[in-house]
Formats: sequence, structure tokens, C-alpha cells
Amino acid sequence: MNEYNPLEILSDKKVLCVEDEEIILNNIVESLELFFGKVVGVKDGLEALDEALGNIYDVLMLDISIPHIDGLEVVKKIRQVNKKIPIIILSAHTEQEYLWRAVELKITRYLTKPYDKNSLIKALEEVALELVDHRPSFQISAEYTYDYCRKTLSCRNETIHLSKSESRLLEYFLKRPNQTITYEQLFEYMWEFEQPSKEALKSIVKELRKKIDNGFIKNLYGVGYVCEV
Amino acid sequence: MRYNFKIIIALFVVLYAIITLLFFNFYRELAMKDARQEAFFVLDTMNAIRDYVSVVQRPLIEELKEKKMLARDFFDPRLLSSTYITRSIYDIQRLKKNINYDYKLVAYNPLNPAHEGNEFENEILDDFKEGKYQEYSRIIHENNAPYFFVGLPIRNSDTSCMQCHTSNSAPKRMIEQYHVIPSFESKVGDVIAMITFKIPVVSILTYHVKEFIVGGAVMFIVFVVFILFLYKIYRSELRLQEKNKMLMMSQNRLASMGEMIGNISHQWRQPLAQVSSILINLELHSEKDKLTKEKLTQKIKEASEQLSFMSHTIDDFKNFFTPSTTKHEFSAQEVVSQAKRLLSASLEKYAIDVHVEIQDNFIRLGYRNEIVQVLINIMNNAKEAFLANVPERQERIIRIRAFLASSMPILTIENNAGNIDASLIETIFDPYVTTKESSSGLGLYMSRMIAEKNGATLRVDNTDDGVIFTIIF
Repeated sequence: MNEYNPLEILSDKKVLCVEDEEIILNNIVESLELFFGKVVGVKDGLEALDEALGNIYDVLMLDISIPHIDGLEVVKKIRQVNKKIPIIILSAHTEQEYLWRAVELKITRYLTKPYDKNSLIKALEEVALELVDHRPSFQISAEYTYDYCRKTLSCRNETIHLSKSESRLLEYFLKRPNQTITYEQLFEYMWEFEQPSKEALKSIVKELRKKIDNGFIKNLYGVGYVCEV
Repeated sequence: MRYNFKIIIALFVVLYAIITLLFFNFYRELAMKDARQEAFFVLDTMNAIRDYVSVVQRPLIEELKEKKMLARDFFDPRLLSSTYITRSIYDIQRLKKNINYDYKLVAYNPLNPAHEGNEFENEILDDFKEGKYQEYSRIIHENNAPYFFVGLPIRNSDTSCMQCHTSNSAPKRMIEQYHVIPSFESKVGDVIAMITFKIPVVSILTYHVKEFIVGGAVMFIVFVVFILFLYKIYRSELRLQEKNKMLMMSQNRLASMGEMIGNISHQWRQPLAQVSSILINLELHSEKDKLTKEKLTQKIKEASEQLSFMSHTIDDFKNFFTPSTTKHEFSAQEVVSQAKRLLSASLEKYAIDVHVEIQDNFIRLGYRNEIVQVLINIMNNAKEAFLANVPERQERIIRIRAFLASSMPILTIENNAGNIDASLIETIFDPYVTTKESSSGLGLYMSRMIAEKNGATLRVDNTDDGVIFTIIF
């Protein structure tokens, strides 16, 4: 548990990247694809707002000087509906005016262009830790611990591996303990584009229950699940 | 120096001329007065001699005749005629002195026809007789030459005069000499004649010529020294001005260098960010062992494109900064698009649209970079006005038009960044006038100078929502 790489938390996460300069956008997207499960790149403020409000993203990365709506304005609108999503600002502006506006928006990191690799990595780590509430592992019960970085469970010094969809689902549950989670939420989260099916969902839950010998995922008949921790 | 040195010098020359004229006039008056004084003095002496002859000499002669020491009918004008004696004395004086006093005695019915007066002299004699004046001095013109004329009356001062000037009592020898003796029909004390001096003005002046020359020379020297002094002041003022101008030029150059560096950094920021993102991307891929050969080649190509863009940019600026020593032909389109290109990054950054409208792509001969600099100065000012007055969400437009108005090539640069204060618009082209805190206030001053150097005029006017600069070639 000592040596973990928080960046691995990101490996099944989805990030939206907004940058109007095509070459920079392409390169950032390519770079981010090395860390994230899914990267979407858009070029202007309107698109960014559409995308961020219409789909579920785990992380946002924005430039400020983008056409139509400036990056900070986009963030402001997103913050009205989502207070938690970690945001990285990537900008050439270092004027006070921008920094003040950024501070109010609870930005995770403000990277100035041209940025260097280390500050990007640092920012990504920060984002990753923020995603897991700065707890890279989660104590599910007395015996079971979930490691966000390795996406594995450990039980009495034994490591249990999880499939990608299993860990993704588990993280979703762990993030919302003791809350009602509907099938629809899960469908949207797990299968963005594919046709979702209850059977597939049920089989993943079944696998999870098998691996974690614990009744912590409860059925709510006809509605969904609740995760009791 | 706002006033014209030439005008000042001209003024001084006029002043000098007036002073010199006054001086000579004054000196002439003085000379005349001198001459008059002297003439009166001589004439008075003559009259005194006449009196002496009448009162002393003649009675003595009579006495000698009584005592039979002289013949009864003795007559000699050298002893008895006061007129004769005075004339002789005059002749002696004249020989000794070098003055052109023209001495003349004018009388009614003179014994000597030479003493017959002319019309003018008789008039004065009449006036003397009537007692209109006691002495006469005036400048008269004779044969188109000015003369100084002085006259004094001669009175019938003594009864002894009557003896000879009456035909029945005149000595026989005298009658033999003169044949006809006109009688004095007057009493003692009456004016019977006048003695006059006539001196050509020229000879008075010639007499004083040394003083004239010395006085004039001194005045001239003082004047020349004064002018030289003024000239020296003017020169040092000029040098100071020149120095000031150089200082301003270098200040302005520094300022525009600073602006240019700002522009270059704007132009470079984007490609730098791109290259940096490419490098980071490469590094990350390599770290994760995901760097394929194709990817590397593609990324290197991308990066070198950016680098060549940067090199192109720097060349652009270098060309702009190379001072041109010869005039070249350039078109309106060329200078406008060069200025626009140099500023493109900062204009884009602040979302300023530049609309170029070349109606007539006229060709001019001049220093192309300098005209570009003028355009850049004006556009930079517009940019700053936009930042200060127009929020980014509003439209920011710079409209550049090139056209011919009655065959005069004109470039206008118009913006909608708000008006220039009416109290400032008159002085906006003066040095050190600025509305901005960080500005040297030289941009527009230099722009106008540069425009004028290139044979153009630059003016500014307020429009509804901004200003319009007009360059008329």
C-alpha cells in the first residue's frame, strides 16, 4: 500500500479538454489519453458547456481564451450544477483579474502556458487525489480494503483483482455510500454509448458480491441499489 | 524655439535701419545747428566790423580831413566802405578756413550791382524790413541742391553812413568811382540791407563726415555684435533642440522596441505553447513506452512547422527594424498588411477585428517601414483605448481604408474605442502628451514627424464612437 501511483486512479476516468489551438489540443488529448480512460477534446466555450453539462465527466481541463465563452465563464456555469468536479485551468494569462476569478471557482490547479511536464503531472495527481477524497484506499469493511490506484481489493493480505467494469462500478458505489443509486444512473455511467442492459449490470454486481464476501450492496427492488458501508 | 529666428533678425534689421536713420537725422540737425551758429557768429562779427567802421573809423577819417591831414575829397572804400571791408575780411577768412560759406550782402539800390538780391533774397529782406524776424535760417533748394541759408539784417546804424550814401554829400572821389550814388531813404536804425551766408548742405555734412562715419561704424559694430550674440543663442537653442529631438527619438525607439518585443512575445506565445505541448506529449509517450516511430516523426514535423513560423515572425520584425536608407516604392496594401501582420497576435488576443478596405491601392515613394511604424503606433494606441474603454464582449473594430480623394492618396485608420477628450485633441500630437500612465507620450508626436518626413500629413478627428486618423500623402 505504500507505493502507489495516484495517477492510476485516473485510468478509468473521463476528462474533457477545452483548447482552441488545434495542435495544442491534439497534443494534450494525446498526452491525457496516457492517463485517462477517455479523453474528449473540444475547441470553444459553447461546445465545452454543451459537453460538460450533457455528459458525465470526472475531470475538466480548460483554456481561458477560447471563442464564444471564456473558460472561466464556462467553469462558473458548470459550478452552478457541479460543485465537486476537479478542474485544471490551462492559460497564458497571469493577470490578477483572471487569477481572482479562478480562485472563486475552486480550481484545482492553474497551469500557465507554456506548461512543463512536471507541473502537468502534479496537477493530474492532485486531481486524482481529489477524486478519491485524498484517500487512495478505501476501507469497505473490517477485512476488505479497496485500492483506488491499483483497482484491487485486499483481504487479509490477499489481493483480489477486479475487472475494469467491476472497479468502475465499485468506485461509483463507494463515492455514494448509503445513497439510493438508480439503474438509470448506473446505465448512464457505465455505458455511455452502448445500449445498456439490466442483465449486464446485474452480472457485474453479482461478480462484485462474489469477490467481496459481504452483503454491502443491497438491492432496492425495481429501483436500483444502495451501498451500505 | 517657437518664434522664427529669421523674423527676429529681420525685425532687428528694420530696427537698426530706423535707429540709424534717426541717428543720422539727429546728427544732421546737430550739424545744421552748428553751421547756423557759426554763420551767425561770423555774420555778427561782420556787423560788428561794420559798426566799428561807422562809429570809429569814419569819424577818425573825418577828423583827419578836418585837420587837413587828408585831402578834403579823400575816398577809399578800403578805409571807408564797411561793405567793402567786411567782404575783404570774409575773403581772408575764406582763404584760411576751408568752409564754403557763400557770403553775400543784399541791399536795396546797392552801389555795387553784385549786391542786388534775387527774388528770394529780396523777399527775406522785405520781411526783415517789416520786422517779421530778427534772423533767418533755413534750408533752401537751388538748382536741385540743398543749401543752408542764413541771413541777418543790416541796420542803418550811424549817421556817418548817410554821408556817403547820399549823392549830394558823397565825396567827390567816390562819385568818380561809382558815378551814381543811390540815396538811403531811411532813418538811422532802419534795415537797409542784409548779409547772408549760403552753404551747400553737402559741404556741412562733408565737414562732419568723420563724426558720421565714426558714429555709424560704432552703431553698426554694436548691431553686428548684437546679432552675432543672438545668433549664438539661437544656435545653442538649436543644438539643444536637436539634442532633445534625438533624446525623444531614442525614447520613442525604446518605447516602440518595448512594444515590439511585447508583440513578438505575443506572436511567439502560441507556437511556444504548441512546441512545449508537443515535447511534453513526446516525453510522456516515451516514458510509457508508447512512442512509436510514426508518432515521433509526426510530432517532429509538427514542431518544426511551429519553429519555422517563429523564425518567420522574427524575420518580419527584423525587417521592420532595419532602418531603410533609401526610398522605395510601396503600395497602400503592402504597408497596411505588414502593420496588421506585425500586430496580429496582440490584436487577436484582445479580440480586435481589423477591417482593411483598399479602394485604391495607390503607390507611394518613401520609407516604407516608417509608414508601417506610423500605422503600428496608431493601431497600438487604438488597442490600448479598446482595453481601457471597450469591454471584450463588445465589438472592437479597427477599420483601415485606402482611397483617392480628388487624386490625393489617403489612408484612414478608424476605431470605435471612444473619443479623445476635446481638451486633449488639439495637443495630442505634441510631445509628452499622453492619456496613458505608462506611455512616454511620444508615439503620436513621432508619428506626425515621420509622416511629415515622408511628405504626408497626419490628423485626427473624433467620430461618433471613436477616432479617425487620416494620413494624407
